[in-house]
Amino acid sequence: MTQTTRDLPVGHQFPPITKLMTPERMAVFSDMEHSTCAGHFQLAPPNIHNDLEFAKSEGFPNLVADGLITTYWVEATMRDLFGVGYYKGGKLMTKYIRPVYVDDEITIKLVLKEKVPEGNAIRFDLEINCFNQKDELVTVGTASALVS
Amino acid sequence: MSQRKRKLSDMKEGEEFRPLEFKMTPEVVGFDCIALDDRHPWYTQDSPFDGRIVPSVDAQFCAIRIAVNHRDGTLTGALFEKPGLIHYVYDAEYFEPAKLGEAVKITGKCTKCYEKRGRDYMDFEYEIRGEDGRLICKYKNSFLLTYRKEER
Repeated sequence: MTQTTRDLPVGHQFPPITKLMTPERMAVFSDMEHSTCAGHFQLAPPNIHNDLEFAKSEGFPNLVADGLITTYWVEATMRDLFGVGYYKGGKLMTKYIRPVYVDDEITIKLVLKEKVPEGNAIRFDLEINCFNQKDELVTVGTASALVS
Repeated sequence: MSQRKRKLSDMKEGEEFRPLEFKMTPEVVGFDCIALDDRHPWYTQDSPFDGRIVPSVDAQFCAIRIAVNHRDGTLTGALFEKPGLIHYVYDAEYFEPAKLGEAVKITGKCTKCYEKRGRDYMDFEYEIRGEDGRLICKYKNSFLLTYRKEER
């Protein structure tokens, strides 16, 4: 399913990935996050992800997505690009610099910034930039994985 | 007289969470797959790690679990408090994946409480180990305590 090869040049831009932040995704994520932290299925209580009045009471104009959803989209991309080299020795840092709202369209862009020898492998360091449909940066970060 | 429920923001800098052991059951991994809308074969069938593994982003769920357990004394669900905590930074280093059915041990602490541009933040760090003691993940996260500045 993977993969990225050692000869990929620094500066390489991986194909962008665009995802829609649907209300269903946000509500299900909220319920499942609640359930996975309870050990059995439970609907999440009203919160900024699933209840508009709650979100407004917290100062948001609309439902706000859990940042982890965007992080996971990046993570799944890293897994698909690097496979075992991401799961064993990979790193991921994401910072949510602007809220992602319901129905936002998020485009994830990954760029290879550096290649550093590490043992018998090469560590690929990537820059992460995620934009909304207004081309505003919403999530930034870095990721890395080992390529044998 | 009712006692105010303890919140995550009541933690002090340097305070450690009570360690938590948590079994990665098929149900838990199933919740992850549904929440993430990703039924990747490594999570649902088999992987190069000799069996089904847990999505690595579960590090954040482990962090929430240990925080909830610390706050409530048991696992009661995610940390949906009011004012709502805003997850600000996810920062993970992965060493080995957790396996399906494995009991992982989570330790962690609050590393910093601070103010930045008129808002309050808290930083945490965690370590997740497998039942054989191997290091699975080192994880750090940061929370903004409330989006509304006037509720500080």
